[in-house]
Amino acid sequence: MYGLIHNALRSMVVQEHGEPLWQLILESMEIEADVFLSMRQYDDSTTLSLIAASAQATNMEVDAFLGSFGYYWLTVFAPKDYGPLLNLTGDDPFEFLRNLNSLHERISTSFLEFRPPVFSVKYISDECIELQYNSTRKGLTSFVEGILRGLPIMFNVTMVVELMERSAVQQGEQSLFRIMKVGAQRGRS
Amino acid sequence: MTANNVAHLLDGLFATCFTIDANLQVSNPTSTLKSYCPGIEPGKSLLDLFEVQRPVLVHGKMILKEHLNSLFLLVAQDHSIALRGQVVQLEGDKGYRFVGAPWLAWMSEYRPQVALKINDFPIFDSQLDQRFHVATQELMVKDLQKLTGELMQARDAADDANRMQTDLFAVMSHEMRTPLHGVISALSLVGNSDNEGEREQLVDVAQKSALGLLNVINYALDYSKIEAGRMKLDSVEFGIMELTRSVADINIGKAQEKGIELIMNVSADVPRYLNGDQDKLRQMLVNLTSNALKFTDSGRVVVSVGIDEFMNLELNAGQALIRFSVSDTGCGIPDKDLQNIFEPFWSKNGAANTDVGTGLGLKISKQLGKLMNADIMVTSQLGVGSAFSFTVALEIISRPSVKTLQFDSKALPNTLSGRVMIVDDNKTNLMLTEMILKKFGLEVKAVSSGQEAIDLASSIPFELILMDITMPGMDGIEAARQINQQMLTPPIVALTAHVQPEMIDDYLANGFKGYLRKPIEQLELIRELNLWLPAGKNTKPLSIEPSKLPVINHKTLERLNVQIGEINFVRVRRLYLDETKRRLSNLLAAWVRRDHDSLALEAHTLASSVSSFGCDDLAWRMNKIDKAIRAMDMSDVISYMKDIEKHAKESLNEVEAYVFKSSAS
Repeated sequence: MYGLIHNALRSMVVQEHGEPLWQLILESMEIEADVFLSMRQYDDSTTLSLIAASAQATNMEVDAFLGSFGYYWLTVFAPKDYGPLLNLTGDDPFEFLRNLNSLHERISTSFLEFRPPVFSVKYISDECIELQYNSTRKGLTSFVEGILRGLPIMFNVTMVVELMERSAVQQGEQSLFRIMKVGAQRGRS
Repeated sequence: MTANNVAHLLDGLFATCFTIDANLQVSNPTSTLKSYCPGIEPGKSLLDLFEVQRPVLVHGKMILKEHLNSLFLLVAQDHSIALRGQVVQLEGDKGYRFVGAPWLAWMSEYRPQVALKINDFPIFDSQLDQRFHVATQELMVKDLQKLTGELMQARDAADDANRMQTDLFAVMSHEMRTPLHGVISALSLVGNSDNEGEREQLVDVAQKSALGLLNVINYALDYSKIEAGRMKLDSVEFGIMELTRSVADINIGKAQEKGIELIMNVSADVPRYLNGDQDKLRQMLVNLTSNALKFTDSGRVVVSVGIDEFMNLELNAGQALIRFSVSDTGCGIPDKDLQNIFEPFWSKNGAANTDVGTGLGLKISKQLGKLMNADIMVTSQLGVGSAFSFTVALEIISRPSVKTLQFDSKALPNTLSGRVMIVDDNKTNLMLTEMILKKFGLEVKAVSSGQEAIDLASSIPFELILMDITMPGMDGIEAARQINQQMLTPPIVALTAHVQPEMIDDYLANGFKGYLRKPIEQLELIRELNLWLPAGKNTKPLSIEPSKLPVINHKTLERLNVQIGEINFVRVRRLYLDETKRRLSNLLAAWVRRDHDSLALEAHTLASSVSSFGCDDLAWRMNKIDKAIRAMDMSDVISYMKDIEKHAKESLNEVEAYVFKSSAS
């Protein structure tokens, strides 16, 4: 995965637990340099090990940690540098999710090795959709769940996110979420 | 394809389109465009609706057919939107159609509040991609700035380290040259002097200078160890009186020389025995005391030890807060210098230290204190004196165990007999060691390489080999390994400056029977020689009480055999032999490492276990070793440790033989 993810992880751990803990995590992985180049592709195993080590260091289960990381990614890290592009992606959570594939396609023009997940949106009603997440990577459903839980903050709405299914497929992972808007919607925050 | 069809096709590709006729009148805007720019109404002129930034109009006129390949940048006159696109000609004189998308750069700059959508931009429109790319590039710049910052920090740290190393080298060179000069000058004068008294004085100067040189080297080694983070805390039991006495012993000469009173003051309420890093505490106190003596010309230096009743530190059960302080009636330190005195190489004059030491003593003490969570505090008054103090949490020991044995070399024979080989590639060391050994009346053969040692060991029998470890070509470990493969191998003792526990274990594993630290200390050499060599002619041998007990007590073994039965006996015998050999090996390793606590423990345990298997002589010897250690009598320990391996082997062989005979009968 790209160094951008590592930098986001670093940012979250440092912000929530302090620099010394991050240094301990790097030491535990015997990583000497504390600089990840955002556009450099790192081996997936490095990223996943960093996540596992961070979860352990913060006394969290890996899935719970990934959930927090997804939430942080959408609500704090991505808006900092890519805010205008996120804003273009939609005016409400459902539109955002509908356009997520388009956003990823655009990103692919800069991140040449980008292997984005694919999302399918199925409208159950105006207030309810089912979102299918398909990825060639295993184990990142909780990260997506964290992102979905961050959407209400981004759009200043109330939503219920429910993970309906999660299954490993031949190469990667596939999950199904049900997302329901609740109450009067207030628009982007 | 009709013009309408073409327009429809274009509208499918572009979100913002409108038609322009020959008179520049606008019609058929797409719904997306209308949503952003409600003022766009059919019939209005392009130039009334938009400010045309590109193409550049000549005399305010727009001839569309001349700009079919131009980039169009249009800004709505009401600034509701800006567009980026081009104009295509419709078939059949149906005019032109503007096709494009919001002009993202302009919108972001001037109308950021307008919520554009990702689908407002055609897939092949690179505006979004560029935007994303720029944002990512900005991130990359930030990454590189961070990386550069870290590299610069690392470079500065390396520069600092280099500078420190250069300073250290310069100071060390100076500090070493001074005593070395004393050694060389004194020794060169010895040869020219016929006056016995003068010769003795010169030798004394040379010896003191050499000790000074050793001191400087020890400082440098300690400093480099601390800098490399290799200094670890040790935990040993020690007597507080012994600690202060040793600090006084080291400094009393200097105090007497300067006519300064050196007072050691230990409060009555300080526990007599403590557990902590005695060596580092001693080093701190020695450094602080020697520093106080340097800057005191008259009066006194007082080393005090007391209970710290004021420091608020959380203590573990059984710990006490001990406060050490060294005060003097010296010249004092100006306030402005107080913050610098713990910097390496700092001197009173602010320049590199030149005449009062390495400039490392206080720095080393400060670092050693840090290791023990103790901060050295200093108070000073110009012309009155200074006081350095620190407080350490130490475990209180009610009953001390044995760590340091009293060593009275006079109790040992002053001459020895036997042939000894010395192996060392350094000719000076070789010659000096040879001279020392000859003074003991020993026959000495000196060789300077591992291969020569192997050749000589195979042609002449030796009672002992002293082997250097680091030699060019074959090192001492390999040479010892090869010699040990021969029959009738003499004990081999390592001569080395590397005496860390793991190194000693390595020597033992490679067949060495002991080690001597370089430079060789006289008492250590006497200890080792007496361990392996018999007393010389006309010399009183080591006086130990001879054993009157049988090697093996058959009655004990027979009783055991009857009690547990022959089958169990055979099984227990194997366990016994294995366990005894393991403990013997521990005992010998503890002896080599000078770990007298472990030595006493192993001897005590062995005395009891070998006795239960009828090895009365061996049990008696183990008891003697245990008692000699408890009595802190090094000469007795040496006497009983001598040949202990041989006696143990004899006892175990008999146990094994007894079982064989019993089974056979």
